[in-house]
Formats: sequence, structure tokens, C-alpha cells
Amino acid sequence: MYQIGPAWRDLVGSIARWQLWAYLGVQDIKLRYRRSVLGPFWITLSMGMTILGVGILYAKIMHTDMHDYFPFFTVGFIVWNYIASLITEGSTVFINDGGYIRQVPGPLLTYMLRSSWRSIIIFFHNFIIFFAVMAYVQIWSGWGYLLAIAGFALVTINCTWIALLVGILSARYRDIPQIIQSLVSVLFFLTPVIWQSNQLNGRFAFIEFNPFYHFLEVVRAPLLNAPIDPRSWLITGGLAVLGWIFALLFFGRYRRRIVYWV
Amino acid sequence: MASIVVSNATVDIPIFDNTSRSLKKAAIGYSIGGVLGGRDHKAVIVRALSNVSLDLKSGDRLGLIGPNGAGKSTLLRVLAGIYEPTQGTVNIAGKVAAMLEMGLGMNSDATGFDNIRMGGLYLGMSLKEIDAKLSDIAAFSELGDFLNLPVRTYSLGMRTRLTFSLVTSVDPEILIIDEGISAGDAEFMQKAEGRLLALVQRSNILVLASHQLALITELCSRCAILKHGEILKIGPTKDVVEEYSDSEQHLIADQSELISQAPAIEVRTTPA
Repeated sequence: MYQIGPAWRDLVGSIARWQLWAYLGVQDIKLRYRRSVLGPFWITLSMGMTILGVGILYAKIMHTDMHDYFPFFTVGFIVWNYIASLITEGSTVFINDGGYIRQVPGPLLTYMLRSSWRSIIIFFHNFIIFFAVMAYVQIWSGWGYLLAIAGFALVTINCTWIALLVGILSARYRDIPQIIQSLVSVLFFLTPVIWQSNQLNGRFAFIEFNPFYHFLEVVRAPLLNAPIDPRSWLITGGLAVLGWIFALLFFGRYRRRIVYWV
Repeated sequence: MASIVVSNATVDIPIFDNTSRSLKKAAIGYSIGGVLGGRDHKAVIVRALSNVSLDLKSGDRLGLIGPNGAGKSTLLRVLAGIYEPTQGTVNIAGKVAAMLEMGLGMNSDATGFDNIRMGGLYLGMSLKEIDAKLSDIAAFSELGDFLNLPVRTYSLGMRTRLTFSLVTSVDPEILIIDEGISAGDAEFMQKAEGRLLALVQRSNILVLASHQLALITELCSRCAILKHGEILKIGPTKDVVEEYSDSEQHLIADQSELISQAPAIEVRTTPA
């Protein structure tokens, strides 16, 4: 039965338990980096080094201006890593929290929100790099920052429904997390993160039909004060609504089975 | 008012091994019409609960007894709303606290205090409620400054003290306890018993599964015998417990009965 009611109640109940998932998300990160001096800033540091190295190299390879390319790659790479972590970590949520799912009564999407919240926290650690780069190249986007926040929210909403779908499938079929891992790494190269969309002559399918391109654009373009195709907003917003309806229908169908699968 | 109504609940638990969980097998099975791949389409299914009906109202204290693998834990999970039965329905009204395993939510790298907060949140408390109860939990556990240390530095007994102090601090409407509420050393046990009783008294509905008939007799007004996932008998604790102890002695005499206590396992097509 594909009914949306129970799934919707699960979602509302999960959001209501915000104290639980917010606390657990923070604890996850604290424990992952316990006893380390830099803590979660290790991610920031390693990402900063990647951005510095790759940014300089590819600007040279592609013969583009450092002042253009560097901020472009910085924002794209940080947002891409955020998208990737939402989806890949989401795919293992039900599996990893299986112990709790079998012990604790309560809405299941709590665990999904915990995982998304964890990715959000890490995203903002990485965002420090953005400010450093922006200070260096002297770009100020003004109102664009507000638009970027809206874009960020839409990307989060979108990637969470994708995570929910792959999370349910992964609980049942344990090959899915591996498939998702490789898909995400392939998509990194197929999506304009390292390369810019105007470098591609003629082959628009990689861009136009790649939802991740549009996800990137609604955050990247406003932050860089760059022009954006309104269709990117339309596609990202539309997918957020349609995707959640589909994911909730699917979740509603299999929600009660998940506890038997994990 | 808290209540639980279970009608004709059946729980089939699929047990996947590595082959039946693999996507490859499912895909192959599909492409060749499930003939050759058909074997992999089947998962072992344990019928853990079969056609169980129950009606619990405020004030009910139900004890569950029965041999290992009789379906007690499964029924507790159904009553807690964790398992939704494969067939039949369950309606639960009221705030549920389930203690199915000691040491739930313990993260050995987090401190005792952090574990109290995490465990309390899992048990459905708000951070405000937890903070209000924190000093009581800490005092009852007698762990003192150890609460500032990671739980991995604790001995088993200290962990048990911490979990017990935490889980008995909740205010649920429906309390679901699986056996094994042991609480460390003898001195602490005595203290613990009083606290457990107080918890039972302030919850509206209690369901307790245990092998300790004395505990059941002390805490429960009604009692049910479970066997092979079915309720054999349900009624006033005294009658049911008497009958159970008689039949248990009978069972020990009859070895063949003991073997048939294992749950029924059947191989069927996976339901999902």
C-alpha cells in the first residue's frame, strides 16, 4: 500500500524529536574527533589543502584566471562534498542505527535527520575556507548570501529525500551502499565541480539533465555573484517537492518492514 | 488514558543470509523468471508470533512467561510499537518506555553524563527533564566523579548502575521491560528493588517478561503463558503461574517436549 499518511506522521514526529537528533549529531562529531587537538577542523584543513592544490593546478591546466577559477572551485567542491556526504551517509543510516531501531520505539526518520544534521555541521566547518578565499579574491555578493541560504536549504531538502530512498533500499539490499559510493564518485567528475559548464561545447546533457548541476548552481551562483539560469531554481524547487512526495510514498510502503531488515 | 489493543497479530521475521540479501541474486532471479534464481528468492521466515490478541487498559500489569524462543521479546516489541505485525493490528495510546536490553545507547567513549543525556533522550525525555533529574540519577548511581569519565573506564557493575539509574528515572504511561533487570552488587540490588517498584507504580500499564516467577507474582496482576508464538493461557497471575510451574515440571520429565520448544521455522517466499 502506497499511502502517505503514516510516513508523514513519522516525519512530523521525527522533527518533533529535534532535541534527540540534534544532540546525537553533535555527539557523533565530538566522538569522532575526541582527543584530537583540531577536532572537526581536520576536515576543514584537509579540504583546504585539497582546494589549494587542485585549485592552482587546474587553473593552470585550463588556462583560466586564478581569480575566477579559485572561488568557483572552492564553493563547488565544498557544496559537492556536502551533497556527497548527505547521500552516502544517508544510505547507511538504517543499517548503522539498526540496534536502536530494534530497541527504541519512535519515528524512524529521526535517524535520517541525525545524519543530515551531522553533514550540515561539517559543511559549516568547511565553509570557513569559503570566507578565506572570498577575502583573498575580494568578492562580495551582498543579497546573494540570502539567496544562497535558500539554495542551501533546497539542496539539503533534496539530498535528504534521496538519502531516504537509498537508505531504505540499502537496508534491504546490502550492495546498494557500495553502488551509491561509486555512483557519487563518478558524478563528481560528470558534474561541473572542477570544470566549468561553459567549457563544454554542445554536450548539454551532462548539465541540463544532471540534477546535481542545478543543486550546485543554486548555492554556487549566488555566492559568487554570478548569473544563474532561473531553470536551476525551478528544477531544484520542483524536485524538492516531487522527490519528497515520492520518497514518502515509498517510505510509507516499506517503513514497517525496515525494522525487520536491519 | 493509556491503552494497548492487539488484535490477531502475527509477526513473521525474515532472516536474510548474504545470498538472499544481494541485489545480484534478486536481479538474476527476476530476469530468468525466478526459476533458477528461485532458491535465492526465499528467505527463512520465523513466525515469531501467531495470531495474538490482547487488550491492556490503564492499571493493567501483565507478566509474560514461557520458554526461551516462545516469542516474549517479539510480543514486547509489538506492544512497544517497534515491530508492526505482518498481519493483524496494534493500537497503542500513551507514552511508551521500553527497556529491552540493558546498556542501551551506551557509548563507551562518551562520559557518564553524556550517556545519561543521550539515553534519556532516547527514552523520550527532553533535555530539560533530564537536567531536572540529573542529580537524582547521579546520586542513585553512586558513581560520583566517574560520571565525568568515559564509560569505557567503568566496570560492568558500574555500567549497570548507570543504566539502571537512568532507565528507572523515566515517567512513562506504558512501561515495557524485558527480563534481566539485574543491578550490580547485592547492596545496590536492595536499593534497586525499591526504585523499580516505584517506577512500576507510577506507570499506567506494565508489561514484564521474565523467567523469575517470583518477580512476576510480585509485580503483575495478570499473566500470560507464551509458547511457539501463541498465548496458551492468560488470566490472574496466581492461577497462571501455578499452572505454568506444574507444566514446567511436567516438561522436564518429558524430554521430547523440550526439543519441540524451538520456534517454528518455515521457508517461504520473502514478503517484501
